[in-house]
Amino acid sequence: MAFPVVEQIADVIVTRLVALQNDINAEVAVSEVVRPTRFANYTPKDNQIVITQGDNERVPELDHPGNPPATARRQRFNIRLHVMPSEKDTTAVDEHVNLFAAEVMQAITTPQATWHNFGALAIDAEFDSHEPIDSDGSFDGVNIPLLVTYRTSENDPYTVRS
Amino acid sequence: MSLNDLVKDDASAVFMAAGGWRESATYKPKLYSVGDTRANRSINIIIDRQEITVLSEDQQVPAPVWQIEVVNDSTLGISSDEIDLGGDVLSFPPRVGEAAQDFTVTRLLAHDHGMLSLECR
Repeated sequence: MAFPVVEQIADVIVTRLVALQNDINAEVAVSEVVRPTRFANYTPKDNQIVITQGDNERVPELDHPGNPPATARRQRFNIRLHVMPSEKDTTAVDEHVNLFAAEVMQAITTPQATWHNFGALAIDAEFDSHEPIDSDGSFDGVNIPLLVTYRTSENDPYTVRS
Repeated sequence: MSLNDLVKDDASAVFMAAGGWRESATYKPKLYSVGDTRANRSINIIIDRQEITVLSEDQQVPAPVWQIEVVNDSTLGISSDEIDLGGDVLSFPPRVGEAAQDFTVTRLLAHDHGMLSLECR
């Protein structure tokens, strides 16, 4: 089964975060990495990562002419980090959040030299401003928006264009 | 017998009565330290299976929510001084007739000497 470029990029993001989950030397023991199904297929856990997609915007200034033309898009991935320590934990919750965010950013930006192209699928990537989760008392955390710009043929979202 | 004892006895009668609203569940405390001796145990609960709601924390993710009523007791149910809203889990059927699944206790909505009202997601 073929997957469009944006789904292949999502897969690379998940792979990098699962590598963090499996890293026994990581500063944070990630409990799971989740891409939700239609109705959330997860229950909140401490050190949980939930990945959802936001807007997919056109970036016309990065289009290339041709037949077919190459069209550029910027996909927003919301990487939500859930923190749910014990009520008896005396560590500041922001300390947990800061550590978790740092580990995730490091995992996403590995390998350092080429992280932004996600295996030659994208042309650029950047992190947007972090957004603290509005907790209602259940769990805390932060959303790390990741903006990935990629180019495909206008008539073929499965094919990467340089 | 004090009023608190009466409230607790009444709650116990409701949750232990066969043929009532009770359902079986397993309470699975998350252990954080070597000295934490809490263990999994079977309890009876009443489940209010609520509508799908969009999680405020995750915004784009619709998810089911359950409100759980349980007697405030460390043997018959869960006691208010033992529960930890940092990963304790209840295992119950998400829909009537389905197999039990694990759900984290996310909030303590209310409690008194007789009962706890919990939210699970």
